[in-house]
Amino acid sequence: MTRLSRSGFTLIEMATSLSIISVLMLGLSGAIVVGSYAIPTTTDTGLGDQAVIDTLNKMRSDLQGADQYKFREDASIKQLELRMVSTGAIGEPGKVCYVYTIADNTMTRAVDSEVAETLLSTADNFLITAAVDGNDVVSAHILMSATDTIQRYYESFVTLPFKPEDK
Amino acid sequence: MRCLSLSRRGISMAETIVSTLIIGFVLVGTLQIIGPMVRSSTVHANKLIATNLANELMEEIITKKFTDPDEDAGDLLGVDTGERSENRNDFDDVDDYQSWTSTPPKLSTNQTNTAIPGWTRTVKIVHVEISDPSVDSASATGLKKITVTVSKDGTQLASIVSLQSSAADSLGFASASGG
Repeated sequence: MTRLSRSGFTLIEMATSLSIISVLMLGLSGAIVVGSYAIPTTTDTGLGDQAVIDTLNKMRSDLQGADQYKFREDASIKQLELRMVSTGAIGEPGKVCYVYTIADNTMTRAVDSEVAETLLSTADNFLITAAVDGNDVVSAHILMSATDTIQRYYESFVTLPFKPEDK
Repeated sequence: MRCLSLSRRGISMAETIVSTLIIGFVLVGTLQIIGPMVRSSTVHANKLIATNLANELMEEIITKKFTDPDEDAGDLLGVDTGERSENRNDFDDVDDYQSWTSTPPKLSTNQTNTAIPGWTRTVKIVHVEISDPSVDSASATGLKKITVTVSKDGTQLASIVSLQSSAADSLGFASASGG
């Protein structure tokens, strides 16, 4: 015959400890909710801003290497097409095309016939104004705004060393 | 017949308290790491914005002409006759930006960027010696030092310096805006 003699918790002890734990958890969850407001979102950490700045840097770099400039816009898209200066290097881009699609707030960049790369999906405005000397573009002013960012509105002034022809 | 008596000893109250204390200390220690991590990511973002704001204004300034196309102000720095000091649309040469400040920052179109209310951009322009650009000059030398400073809630986060020479005007890149 096996006789087990174990001293366990009584129901009262269990009920009391569970109620104490519940009250403590309730208080703690309130503190966690308040504390969670301090956790930075992707906007707070500047990831959105970094994406816009990277896009503007790419555009600036492409503009500075262009010898032909063509900008067109209609109700649905704004397109900047650049013909790049040829240095004779193997694999150098011949044409770079930026397309801003108003409906879905995207900015894409395509090099030659390659598949376009989406640079931004939060751009809610894009403007580019060229300062011309005759038919040559000497500088460009880019204005961009993007959601989910800290800075929201961005601009860039670019001088174009090759003074691309405005087509 | 076999009689088996199992007598098992549980965890004592003292042991429970000690282990709870150890876990508590470890937990508090871990949670203390989260605060600085959160702060550092925000600081990084602020530095990024500050540097970008400074670069944007510096780019705008250096695309202007060194000498006012309407009148050569000589030693004087600041807006020229007929230009409004509060309106950047009137600025047509580098030193028109002398003492320019705006809180919150404004775009070149004079639109206020309300998304960043506590931020300030300030410009300081001085004539400097060509032989030693670290030495300021009271009179025109053909070289100007431009300093753009960005601060947030009174704390300076970025400052960039650029030199602009009178020779830049002959290159023909300056934008034609302004009065």
